[in-house]
Amino acid sequence: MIEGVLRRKLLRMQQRIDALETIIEDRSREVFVVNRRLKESLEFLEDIYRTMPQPLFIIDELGAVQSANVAAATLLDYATPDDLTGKPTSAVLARPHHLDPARASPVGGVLRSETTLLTRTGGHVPVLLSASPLQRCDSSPETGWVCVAVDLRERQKLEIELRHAQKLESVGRLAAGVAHEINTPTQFVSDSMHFAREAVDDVFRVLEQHEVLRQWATTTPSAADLVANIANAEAEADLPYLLEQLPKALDRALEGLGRVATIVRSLKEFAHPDEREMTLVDLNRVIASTLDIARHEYKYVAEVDMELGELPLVTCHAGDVNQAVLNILVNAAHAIADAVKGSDETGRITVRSWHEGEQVVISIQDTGGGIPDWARDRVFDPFFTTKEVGRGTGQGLAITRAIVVDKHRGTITFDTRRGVGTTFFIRLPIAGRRSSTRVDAA
Amino acid sequence: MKGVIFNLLEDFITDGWGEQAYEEIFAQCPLQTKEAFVGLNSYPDADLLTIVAKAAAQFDISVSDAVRAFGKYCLPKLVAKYPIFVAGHRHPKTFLMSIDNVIHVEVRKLLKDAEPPRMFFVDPAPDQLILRYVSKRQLCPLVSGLLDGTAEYFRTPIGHTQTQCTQSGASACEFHLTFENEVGAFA
Ligand code: HEM
Ligand SMILES: Nc1ncnc2c1ncn2[C@@H]1O[C@H](COP(=O)(O)OP(=O)(O)OP(=O)(O)O)[C@@H](O)[C@H]1O
Ligand SMILES: [Mg+2]
Repeated sequence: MIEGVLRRKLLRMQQRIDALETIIEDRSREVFVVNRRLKESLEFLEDIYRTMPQPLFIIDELGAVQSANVAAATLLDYATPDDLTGKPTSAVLARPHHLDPARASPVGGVLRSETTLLTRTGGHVPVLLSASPLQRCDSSPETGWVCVAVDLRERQKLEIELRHAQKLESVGRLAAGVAHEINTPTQFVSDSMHFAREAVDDVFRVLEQHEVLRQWATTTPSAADLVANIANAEAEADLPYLLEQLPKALDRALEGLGRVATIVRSLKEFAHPDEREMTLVDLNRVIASTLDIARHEYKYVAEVDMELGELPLVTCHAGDVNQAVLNILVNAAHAIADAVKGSDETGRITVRSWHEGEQVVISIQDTGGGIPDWARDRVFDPFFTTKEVGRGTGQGLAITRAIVVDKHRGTITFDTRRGVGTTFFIRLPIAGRRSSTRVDAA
Repeated sequence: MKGVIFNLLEDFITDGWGEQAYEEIFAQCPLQTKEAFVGLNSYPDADLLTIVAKAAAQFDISVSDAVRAFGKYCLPKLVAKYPIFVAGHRHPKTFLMSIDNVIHVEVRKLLKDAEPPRMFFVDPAPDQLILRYVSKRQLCPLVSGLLDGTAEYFRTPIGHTQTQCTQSGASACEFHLTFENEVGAFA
């Protein structure tokens, strides 16, 4: 009896051991599979973390950078993300107290603020910072933070460019309207003036014959009264003066009308940049011919140096580039003229060109007085001028900008220092505007 | 129910009435499970109750008395197997209050597919505790037995009466506990 009991018990024990072995094997397999999945998802997350274009860094509970991605290291000027880890929050955030859970929004606890990050060398980067509190264990009152930054410099630049483009667009529309309105009366005033100018010559010829008649009539006593009347009228009207000045006045008026017509034409050009095909152009030749054209503007005030590098042919409108460079050259000459006024010194204009990746660069450097601080962000505005009436209309750089940026998808920038001078840089895509990404309507 | 409990039941019967008594009872039970019970595996609740019922009949006691006695037997055994759950507890009250959010939580991690009951507590006074037990298994006598075992383990009497039962339509089984000593009396 006892033996039977023990045998059955032993049998059960044996079964248990077998079952336990199976359980252990099953668990081992499970652990293996789970581990692999864990590793895969960990690598996946790490990939996202490493390659995401947004700068991301994690601040631990003690207020130090626990880890950062490449974008964050790049933004803050560190060679690798590792160089950033361990840095205290105060080395990364200009206002570390911003990371306060009390400031976080009650929804999701995310804290968003426009703030400033510090680079390795102490530089300031304006960013939009989103920080989510990171509580690793429920018991700890201290929180870590997951921080994602958006570099605002790009956005600020874009906003400025957008505002500029919008302003130019409305000014362009206004200009087109004004040009049209002025064009019609200018036309008929012009026609009438031409008629009057010719008529004056004819009338003068008739007057000469009248003069002969008057001379003869002085010898005829019965006409004495009439002759005296004519003499009076002539004296009152100051006929000799009229004879001398009237044609000149009409010539000046005609010349003025010619200028109005030119301005109207350039306004129209500005409003509707034409769609002529671009051609392959040797920009160095364009620069040389522009310097020729502008010679009378600068020859008394400045010497010109040319340092033209080897350039590939550039797809562009040669006439436009000529105009763009000319406007800058004229400004340079004016700036130098102002700077050397009252002395017998002359200044220097240096025109350079070189090839830079997908672009060519033209720079025009002058030794003028520089552009004052307050004017720097306005020089490209249409009609902005600091020059006296007659010398400047404020259109030069606006037109240059329209040509370079809008027509050719290039860029125009400048460096300037008070008392030292100004350098303008024109960058044009070698392949023309079509090379730049642009969505064409299907 | 997990195999651990089945094995404890076997120990309970063999410890009290001998190997042979268990083999006799076991042999008479029409169980769904054919193989031996292993602690880590799960088996039908019905098998456990079949064995308990057969044992109760054998020894001529009510099933609920049998279950309660089994509960009292289980507690020191469970504590011996998992001593960490009593570590730091000087009073049964704090120990009991950790069943739901510590002990049974860990049980779920250690034993796959374990379904320990839910326990809720009201703390009306330092020497009292109201325990609400919620389980589809409705094993209130087991709770009573475990409470007896707890009192014995901590060497301090626990008076407990069941004031409500799901068997009679309540939403939970409720036990009112009174401790001879207040929490802190041992400190
Ligand atoms: C060291 C302490 C304890 C351990 C390790 C433990 C562990 C367990 C385990 C493994 C089960 C089986 C679950 C299943 O098979 O799904 C269980 C069930 C149960 N435990 Fe605990 N337990 C402990 C303390 C207590 C105490 C003090 C009470 C009550 C006062 C209690 C009440 C119960 C009840 C009533 C069940 C039966 C399942 C049900 O009613 O649904 N346990 N426990
Ligand atoms: N090289 C420069 N040095 C100093 N100031 C400059 C220079 N270039 C431009 N500026 C400033 O920018 C203003 C705008 O230039 P812009 O060419 O648009 O108009 P303008 O020269 O005044 O008139 P316009 O070119 O129509 O005759 C100038 O009035 C001047 O104040
Ligand atoms: Mg100008």
